Amino acid sequence: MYFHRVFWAFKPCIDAFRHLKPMIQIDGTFLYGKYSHKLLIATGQDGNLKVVPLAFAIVEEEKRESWSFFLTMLRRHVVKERQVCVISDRHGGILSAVANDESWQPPLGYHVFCIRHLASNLNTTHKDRKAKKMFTSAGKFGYRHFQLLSDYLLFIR
Amino acid sequence: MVIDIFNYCQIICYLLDNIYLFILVNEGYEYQPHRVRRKLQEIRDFNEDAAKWIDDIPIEQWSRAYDENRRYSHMTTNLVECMNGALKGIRSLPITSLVEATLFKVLKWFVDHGRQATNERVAGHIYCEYYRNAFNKNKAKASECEVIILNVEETGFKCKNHTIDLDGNLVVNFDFH
Repeated sequence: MYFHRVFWAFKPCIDAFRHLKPMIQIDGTFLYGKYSHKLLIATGQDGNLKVVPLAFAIVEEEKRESWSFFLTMLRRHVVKERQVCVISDRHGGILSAVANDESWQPPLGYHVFCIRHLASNLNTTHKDRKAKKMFTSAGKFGYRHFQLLSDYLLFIR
Repeated sequence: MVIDIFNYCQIICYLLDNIYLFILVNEGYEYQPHRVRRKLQEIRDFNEDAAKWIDDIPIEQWSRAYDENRRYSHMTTNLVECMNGALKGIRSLPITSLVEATLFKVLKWFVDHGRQATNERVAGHIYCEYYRNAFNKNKAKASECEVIILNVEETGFKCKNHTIDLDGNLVVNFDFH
């Protein structure tokens, strides 16, 4: 018998999720020591700008099947029917896992990329630091504006 | 009055005849495709291959100007990097211990933040720290504002923010209905 994959999420995190911003960040990282497995993590953020851990998984490697497993479980147990935006790097495994899963496509899920990972991909493929900087700043364009929520008006004397 | 404080809003308040008018506004980002296009053109002039590489990625997946504020201004996966950092010590553990260690970490997180939230409630605060700071900041700005009520029932109003620049000219900073 050998270890395959494991996904876990804690009840308080699942309950907390519907109070968080509809935005999830996912990424994979190495395990140290005797395992060559990867630890996949999903995190959210609350209205007070605090980071909230949502779900974890240990998988054999970052490939389509393992990301697909993680995203399916995340949708089934944590996110449920909520409309969310997912931020990740542009890993081939995540791309094809999202492409093959309807629950992570609009209007339920919007997949966007981390500008820092994209810029460093651009730098490795084209060896161009100036283009990397320009690309990062192009991604960040946008300035603050205010949009009135008329439901949230109150008068206090 | 129930306010979904988890919505990413910023509070502006205006002083008006001893009545505070509290307005919760959504903080968003202006749709600025022309600036992004101009920057892309700059990249194209500078390095054509790099621009072609960028063209292959749909623009709404990397540009804040095109994403309709779905990202809540998060351009990177920094929150996950934070989590990686927090789990650094336990990533060398065997798998069952690792799962257990994350349980303790999450537990500690909820106990700490629960305690913080309880303290704030006991202290009589309705809103979380982030909102209070935003509110106080905008309250200070409120004295500079002039509010013209257009229609009370439909909460129509006009707001002008005047400042006087160094030459003594009146500058209207924003004006929204």
